[in-house]
Amino acid sequence: MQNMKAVDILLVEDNPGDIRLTQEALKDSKLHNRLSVARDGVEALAFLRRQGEYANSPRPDIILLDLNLPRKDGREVLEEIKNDDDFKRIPVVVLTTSNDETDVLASYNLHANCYITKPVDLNRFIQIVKSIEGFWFQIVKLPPE
Amino acid sequence: MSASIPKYGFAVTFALIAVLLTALLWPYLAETPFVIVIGAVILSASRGGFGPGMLTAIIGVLSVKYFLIEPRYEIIASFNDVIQLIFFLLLTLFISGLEENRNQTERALRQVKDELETILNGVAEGITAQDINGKVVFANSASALITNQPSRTTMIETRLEKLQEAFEIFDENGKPLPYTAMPRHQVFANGAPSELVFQQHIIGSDSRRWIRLKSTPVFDDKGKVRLAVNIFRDVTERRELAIARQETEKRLRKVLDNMAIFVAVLTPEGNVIEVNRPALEATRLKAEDIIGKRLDALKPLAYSDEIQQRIHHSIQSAAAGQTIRFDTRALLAEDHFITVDFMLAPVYADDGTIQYLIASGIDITERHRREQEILNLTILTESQRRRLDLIIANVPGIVYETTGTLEDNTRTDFISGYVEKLLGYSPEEWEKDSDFWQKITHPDDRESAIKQARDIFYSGRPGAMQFRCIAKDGRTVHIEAQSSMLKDKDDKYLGFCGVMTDITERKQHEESLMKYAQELTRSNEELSQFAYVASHDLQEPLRMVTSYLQMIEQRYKDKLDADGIEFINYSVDGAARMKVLINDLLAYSRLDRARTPFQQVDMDTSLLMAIHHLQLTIDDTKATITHDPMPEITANDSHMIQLMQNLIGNALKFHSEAAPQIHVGCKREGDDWLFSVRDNGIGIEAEYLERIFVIFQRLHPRERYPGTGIGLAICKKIVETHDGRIWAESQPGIGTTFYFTIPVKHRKRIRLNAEHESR
Repeated sequence: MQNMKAVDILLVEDNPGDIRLTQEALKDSKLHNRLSVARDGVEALAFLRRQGEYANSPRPDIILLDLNLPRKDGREVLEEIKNDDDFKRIPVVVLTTSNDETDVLASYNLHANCYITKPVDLNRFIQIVKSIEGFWFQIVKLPPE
Repeated sequence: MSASIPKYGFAVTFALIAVLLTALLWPYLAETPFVIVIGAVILSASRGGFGPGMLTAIIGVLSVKYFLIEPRYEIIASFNDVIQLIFFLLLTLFISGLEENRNQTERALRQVKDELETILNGVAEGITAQDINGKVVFANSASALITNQPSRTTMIETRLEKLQEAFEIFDENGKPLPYTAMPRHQVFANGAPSELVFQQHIIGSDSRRWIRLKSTPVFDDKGKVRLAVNIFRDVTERRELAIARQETEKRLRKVLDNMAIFVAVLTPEGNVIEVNRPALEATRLKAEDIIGKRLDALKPLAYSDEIQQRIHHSIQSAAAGQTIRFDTRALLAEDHFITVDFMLAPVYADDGTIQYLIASGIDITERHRREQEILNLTILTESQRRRLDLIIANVPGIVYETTGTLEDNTRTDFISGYVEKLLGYSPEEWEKDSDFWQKITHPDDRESAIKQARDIFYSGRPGAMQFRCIAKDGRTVHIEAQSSMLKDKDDKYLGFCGVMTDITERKQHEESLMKYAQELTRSNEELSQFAYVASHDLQEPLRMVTSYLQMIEQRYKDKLDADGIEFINYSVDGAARMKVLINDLLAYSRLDRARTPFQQVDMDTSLLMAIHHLQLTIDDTKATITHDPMPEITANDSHMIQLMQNLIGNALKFHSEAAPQIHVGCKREGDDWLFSVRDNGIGIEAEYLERIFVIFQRLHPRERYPGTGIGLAICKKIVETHDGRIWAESQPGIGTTFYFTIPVKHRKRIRLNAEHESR
């Protein structure tokens, strides 16, 4: 396991508190992971397309996407990713505070790979992030690059 | 004078004869020598009068004296001679006087006879007299004329057989009659007058004449019939006249009996003397039932005192010369009345007196009925027309009628005066210009209005069109024109008719309603936006507070004292409650009727689902839950689960010392299902029973009964969304029962844009 290649995770999140919590949760991970953060939808897409300052950014193995973002929100980002032949196979986990049914439906309709509502409780949150990591990198067989 | 010469001739002759005879008989006449002369004088005087008598006397006497007694030359020789002369003078005088008297009588008689004959000949009747052998002894001129003889003398002179050969006779029926049938035979046989009417055909002519002959006996001194006097006349004309009159009478009778009028002839007193057949047939009476009766006593006309009086007075008036006419009813049979145009009129005789009264009646039942109908109809039509005019004048809209098709020659035939009130244009302005309505239509609406009109025209069905008009004063008026096609009974298109109404106000209402609807939609959108913000943006800072407090607790546990940990716990707890509150509020705000689809819901399943969701609490409180059989209802599935869950959850929460016993009931009540959730909990004070359904209302401290105070408000909103009611009944310390109703059949759900969809 230790010898495994590091996994690249792109977190699209505008709330620094949540970014920090996610980082904290991934810190004790057994997996060697590299967490990149995009603060809004425009940044996220630039990151993926390696535009501007992101020219050397890695291709993420998974994207953790918040829905409500400045400039370009998560739904648009999701739509663009899933409509792009280069990116559409990258698993997108919608991780958001919203438990609104319309958001859930809209996300799946845009081919989100899963939808998770952020819990209020810290431990639950950490547990969920770990579960995401465990599920997507240890159980799921991801498409070849 | 000429007549006297023969008389004197005779006198001389008589005298000479007397002298001669005296001479011859002289030996026997010596004593009375003048006897024969006296005879001659008498003869002469009686025949010729005094002059001839005296001449005969002088000649006779002188001759006898001179020639027979002694020849003498003096005329008067002796006194004896004077005596003799006086004697003869007197004798002659006497005889001539006697004769003159006789002659006068004879002349008078002859004159009478002549006059009589003249009279008889002047009479138109033929008059003859026949003796027992049939010999005509007298005939007048008319008799010759009638029997076609040349003159009356030929009648007398010709033999009977010959007379009879000139003609033949027939009886009334045209059968030949023997001459023995002539009445004179009866007269001679019976001595009584006899009469015969026969036809006489004069041989050689081509006509038959009708003769009436009456024979009367003339008796002699011994009482035997001496003559039969026949008086006869040609009655052909009179007879033909009589026959013609009879024919006329028959014809009149037929006319009378065959016309559609009831007729009776009355005496001026009112007694029926004649009645025609239709009257008999209609009344089903026999002539003998009517004839002789008074008209006002006949049942068909006298069925009531009133009408009897009226007929009675009519008779009196008619008898006084008036013509009475009125419509009345006649009773023909039991309950069968007819209406009769009754008339009673006097008929005058030649002398000007009233001879008869003619009563006539025409059955006008049918006509009367029709007239009544027409009258009713006319009254009706008149009142309808007036009503229609009134309606058109007062209807708050422009009533119009057009002819012609849209493409061809549309003409406004009628437009009600309201047009002036509504748009300011006069009906005349409108009617004279076929395209007027298009001209005053708002330019922006013109195309659409023409299209709408065309659509209605081609659909053939009534329809409404809406457009704006520019009124004469420049106002914009919204018009709705309801139009129908006018067709004749053969379905041939005639034109359009309809009403144009001012819908400006309605349009304004519609516009403001639309604005409200838009406002509402916007506000709803804002609300859901707000709800979303609440669910997301309010929770994120909350999560931050909770997470990082927990982080502090975990990382710096050993550096915090007991108070620090307790404070952190309060903070975390508060944040957690706030999250629940936000979630409940969110749930409440999402109970949006428009977004609540209804389906068939098995309430058994919903109840079980609710119980399932509450299983942990049920286990904790050792509650028992029972229920009636649940129906299938029309409702929103998840709402029903939520409702049951909240009510049962409420019952579980507010339990008393004893283990909760909850019963869910259901029964049909009228058009509703009535559900109930009964518990044996702490109960609610009556004064709070209303308040419990108000949002955020709490009756108990949170420490004892946790909750946001939204649960029952949600219940109330769910039930109201389903057009039901919810209420609670409670006895503190014993338990509470919540009731709610759900209609069995839901009325059509109103949607904001329903009107647009139905168009």
